[in-house]
Amino acid sequence: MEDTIRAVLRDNGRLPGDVAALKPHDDLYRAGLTSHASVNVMLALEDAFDVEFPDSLLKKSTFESIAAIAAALESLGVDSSAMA
Amino acid sequence: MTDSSLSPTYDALALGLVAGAPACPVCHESVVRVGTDVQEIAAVAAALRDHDERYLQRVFTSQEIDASTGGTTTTAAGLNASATASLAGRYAVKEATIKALRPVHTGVPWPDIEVVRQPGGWCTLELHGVALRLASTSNLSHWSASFAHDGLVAVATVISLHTCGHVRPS
Repeated sequence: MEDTIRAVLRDNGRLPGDVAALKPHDDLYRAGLTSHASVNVMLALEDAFDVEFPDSLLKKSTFESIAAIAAALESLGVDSSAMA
Repeated sequence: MTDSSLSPTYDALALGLVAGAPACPVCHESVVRVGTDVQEIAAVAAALRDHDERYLQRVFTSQEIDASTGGTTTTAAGLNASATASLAGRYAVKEATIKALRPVHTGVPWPDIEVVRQPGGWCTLELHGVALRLASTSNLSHWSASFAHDGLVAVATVISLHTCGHVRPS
């Protein structure tokens, strides 16, 4: 799952730095993720994992780190070992 | 300024101003709540290109889409620069509103914050669902929004009035 999340961030997060260098709990907003880019990330995650983020998860904290994204996906039933 | 014909909101504003600071007489927070946001127009264009209709449907209301596109949209990815800039401005309003609402643990669906174009050309703000409940909980009312776009970016400012209630001077 983490590799896929990193790929989504690389392709949709518009982050200025190297996504591969981010630790799971690094703050993505401090790393340059904008609120609008988080929309792109959300839509790309939905495509990659075949899920839909409910309204309750449309908050800043859902996308604040790779670990937070993984937790949100797990709450939607995605297996942590999933490789989309 | 404390005429009984005035609304509680204006009473609170007047009380704050009379006291020398625009603060709510009950909780002492600022009576004026402001949010602002700047949005890169190219980022919206990229989202339209990459996610097409899904992006539009998740972020904007049908009325906002029609107002931005003139109701002539074919595909999201095919929108012209003016429509894209207009959508960027509306997105900036939504983010500015979220900043003013200050949600902590609550997700706010973007369509719950709607920019409504008025016949005269200006825009007003309408809140629905979660956004409306958050505003009510925080005693925020009298919302006003403005956005503009030029060159590479769109900017928006949102203002609302806060008052904890129906306090009148004795």
